[in-house]
Amino acid sequence: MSDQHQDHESPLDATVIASLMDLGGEPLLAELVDLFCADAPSQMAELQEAAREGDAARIAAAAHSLKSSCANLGAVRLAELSRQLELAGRAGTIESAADVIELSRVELERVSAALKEHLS
Amino acid sequence: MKLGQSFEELKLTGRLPSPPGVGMAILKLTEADDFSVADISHAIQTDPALTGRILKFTNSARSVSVSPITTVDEAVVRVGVQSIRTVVLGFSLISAYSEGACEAFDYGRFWSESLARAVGAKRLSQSIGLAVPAEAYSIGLLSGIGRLALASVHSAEYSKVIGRSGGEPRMLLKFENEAFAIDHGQAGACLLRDWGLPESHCRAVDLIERDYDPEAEEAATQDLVAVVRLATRIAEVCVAGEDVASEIWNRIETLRHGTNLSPDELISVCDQIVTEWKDWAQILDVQTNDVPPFSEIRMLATEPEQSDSPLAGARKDRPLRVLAVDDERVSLRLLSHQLKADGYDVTEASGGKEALEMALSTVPDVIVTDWKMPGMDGLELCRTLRRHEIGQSIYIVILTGMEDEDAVVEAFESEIDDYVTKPFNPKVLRARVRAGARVVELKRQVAADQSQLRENLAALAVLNRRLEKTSLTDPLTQLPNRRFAMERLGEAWGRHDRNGAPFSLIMIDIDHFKRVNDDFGHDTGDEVLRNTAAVLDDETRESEVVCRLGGEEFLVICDGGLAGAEACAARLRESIEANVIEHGDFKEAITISLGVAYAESDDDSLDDVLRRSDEAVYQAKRDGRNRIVILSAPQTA
Repeated sequence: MSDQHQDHESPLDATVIASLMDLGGEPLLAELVDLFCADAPSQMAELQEAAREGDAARIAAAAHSLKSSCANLGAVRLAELSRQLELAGRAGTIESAADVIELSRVELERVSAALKEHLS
Repeated sequence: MKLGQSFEELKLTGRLPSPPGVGMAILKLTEADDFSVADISHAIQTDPALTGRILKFTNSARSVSVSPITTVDEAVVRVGVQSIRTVVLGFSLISAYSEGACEAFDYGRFWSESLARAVGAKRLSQSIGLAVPAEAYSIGLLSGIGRLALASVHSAEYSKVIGRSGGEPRMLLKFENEAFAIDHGQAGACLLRDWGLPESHCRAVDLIERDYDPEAEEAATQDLVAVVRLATRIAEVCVAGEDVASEIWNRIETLRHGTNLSPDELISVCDQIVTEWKDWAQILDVQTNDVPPFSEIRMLATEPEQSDSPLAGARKDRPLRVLAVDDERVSLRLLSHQLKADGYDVTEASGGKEALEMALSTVPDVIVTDWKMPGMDGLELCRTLRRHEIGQSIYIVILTGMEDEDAVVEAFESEIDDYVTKPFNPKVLRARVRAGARVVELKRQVAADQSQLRENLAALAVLNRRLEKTSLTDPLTQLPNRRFAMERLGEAWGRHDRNGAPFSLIMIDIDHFKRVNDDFGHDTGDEVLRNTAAVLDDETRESEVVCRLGGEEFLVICDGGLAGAEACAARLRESIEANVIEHGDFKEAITISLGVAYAESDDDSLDDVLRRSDEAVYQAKRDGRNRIVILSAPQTA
């Protein structure tokens, strides 16, 4: 899944965004984006902290939260990264977690930017 | 005895309701075995307002009011110490407990409803002919006392219980039991027992909102339950808003089938109840509200769009209540938005603990919850809820990630109803919640059907009681008949035989009755019998039972010895002689001949006593009629 080409594509699944627009239009999307932008950075920080401490269970929990919120907004790649982190955390195999978290951090920035772009 | 313990615990708090003033004085007085009627009436008369109320109560509870009773002494003997005592307790409690600490408990409405129930039970007792009107009034007044007790002892906790039950009596009993290990029916019965009320009355209070086995209960208990139950529904209508009133009416309609009342008669009885209720409420300073004529309530209730099951109808237009639970805000917002868009009434909780608290206090129909949450997760929430009675009826859908789908088996073991994978497809979520809504609706329907079934059973119980009563009642005069008299005599003889309990008989025969029939026709003859029966009934006391044996022959069975029977006979003879009966051309007072006998130690059987009373009547006739003859057993040498 770590395909370099994806860097040039939108980090968001257009169909998910479209269905959110169907459901609640601009206002709902704006509200969800606000919530996401408010919560995702602290979820990311929690992930990084958990990885520094080598706490697998905490990684799983934080990744789970992040996964839910980005899946809802169609951030498919970030959701997939979070899912890998959650599974690794649950399995206790967190040797490469720090790398995946770094990938996620970069992806999160792209996602946030893309979401804001959608709204403007 | 777990229940006894629960009540003892309530008692130990020292916060159980207790009557002040005269109520307490009477309670103390009657704790002793040797209190007299004079003691009671003296205690009542220390309070002039209470005196007036007791006289009003007594006069309204008598079926035939030939001459109103004007003294408390008379009131106490006529309706009996027990009923007077209970009503005094009730009246004292009203003023002492017009407010209290339990927030959700509406004290004003409680007494208003209690009073409507009291008046209603009395009226129904008079119209249906079940139970003693004075007893029906007194039990109607205090049958809700267990609720006041729980509100007084557990004021804060009881507020929650009331909120949860949503005013449904059976749910209230259930939740009370969960919270306090005793419900208001049981607590009320224990309290009344503590106050020394007769066991049959305490049992009745316990059983009013419950299904019970009639075989196991005394006839007196069954009659009281039947009458007070119907009165309870009518009282609910009185204090309810118009919209709810018409729903309850359907239940009353069902209960009516057990009575001998036509729909119109029931409506007129109900309207009379409202009038009398307002009258009493003014005297006792209890609130009332405007009640539309019952004919209007019936019309609202029978409008065609009304569902045939009242409970389902009650909630039909209200949207299903869904509790959405997720710790992650984007998901929660999206979930609740989706559910709202589908027309549900949605509340949000951001974690398991919060959800549990909200679920237990607001009892949603459906919960849609995320699985993985810090603290209490979705499964734990589900398991905890299922351990509570309330939680068992909630439809629970759990949200699960794709990769957890294998673990769903575990989720079903925790008794979830369904699951939806995340991120959810709105169409799938909608379909699953709608399936849940159908299950919830079906459960409601079943509950409504059950409640309808219970009302039918209750109506059947009333019918059975009434039929039994009919078989013991003389149709012309409405007095107990010969069969009843013989049963009663058998019991009296049994008590006499076992422990020497005294009883006396007054055999009564109308003088020259044949002449009335021959000269004025049988219609007049019937009227003379009816009128005479009414006077006899009115002039006898609680401890004296008048029966019609047949033809122009009556029998009074008196608990107690010769002196009481003699006084009773004298009273009856005088009243009949002074009572002018008018019917067509007939306008005169008749007279009666009376023969008095009492159970003596030499008597071998009941027949000995009956034979003496018969002989005494013959002698009275021979001696010139309109007189009393007392016959003792011939002295054995």
